[in-house]
Amino acid sequence: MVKLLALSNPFFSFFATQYMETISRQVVEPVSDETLIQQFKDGAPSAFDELYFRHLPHVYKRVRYVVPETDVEDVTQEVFIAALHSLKGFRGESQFSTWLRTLTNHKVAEFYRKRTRKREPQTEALSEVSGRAIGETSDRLEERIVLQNALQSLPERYREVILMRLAEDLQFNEIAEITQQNLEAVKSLFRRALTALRDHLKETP
Amino acid sequence: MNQHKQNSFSAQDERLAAFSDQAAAGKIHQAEVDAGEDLRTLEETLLRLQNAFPSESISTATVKQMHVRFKARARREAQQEKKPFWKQWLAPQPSLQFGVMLAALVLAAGWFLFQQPIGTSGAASGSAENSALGLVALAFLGALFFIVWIRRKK
Repeated sequence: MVKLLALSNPFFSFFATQYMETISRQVVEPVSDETLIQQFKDGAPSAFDELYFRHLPHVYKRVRYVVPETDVEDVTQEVFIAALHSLKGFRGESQFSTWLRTLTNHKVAEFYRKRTRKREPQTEALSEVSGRAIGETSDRLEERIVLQNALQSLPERYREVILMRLAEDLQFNEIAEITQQNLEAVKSLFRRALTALRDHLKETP
Repeated sequence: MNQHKQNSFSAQDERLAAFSDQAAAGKIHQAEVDAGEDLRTLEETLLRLQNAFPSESISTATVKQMHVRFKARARREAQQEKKPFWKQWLAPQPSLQFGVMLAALVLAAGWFLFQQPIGTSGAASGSAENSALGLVALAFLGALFFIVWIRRKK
């Protein structure tokens, strides 16, 4: 309709082009996290749902690398509950994804703190219950537990670079941008992190 | 000597990064044969990590199910966090709600006062009882206004 009018009236064509560009921009460009956060702050709870759908897969994958399979969903939901409660205080000094990553790390640390307090055995329940729950071989689950423990024992910056690259599937240049380091430094950090992990795994029987 | 070591590490950084990219893209499934011992074991560690954890993202159906559970949990937690009723009553009320409540109280008090016959004749005890009741109601109203006034001043 707009196109027809634009063809028939040259005066109208300029406005029609502008209109079409605006429409296509709206279709192509998704609403930014910042806009959604502002909408949420202005009283639109559905904006948080959009943030949830957008970021859940990344958070889930990240949590999966460091938390036993049976607790992954619970810890992930904890992250979003915490985000829901504190989003109004989010000042936008960092990107939402960075903020969420920090929140995830806190929740994972909290999970391990609680577990230590409860003095739950590390491996026994995990391999059996998780195996039944998701139908995976116990060997693979045992391997996952060994790796999760090794990852947890690494210094935070080492763990962080491994999680960003492997769990979140971020490219090295993206990691460099997020951590505000140069590309070479990130690649070097990644090698040192893997070296530390390898050495830790060697020591683990 | 140090320069040589530095160069060697830089080369390893680059090779390991490239290996990681290719492994993530599913193009490599085993450590490179021509890599030195150190690099090869690092590549094996990387592959070990990748093989242990599922690389595929969670399905849309799972995301939707999790979202439903998330909403239910958020609602449940919001209900649990609700203030006890007495705190709600003492908290400053929104103006409309507050006005309606006040009007209802005044009406109830007025109705109560005018229901009592204030007789000049008849038993003296009845008259005394009526005025006592009226005084109690007035005192109650006064106290109520005082509390409200204090709360609104804050």
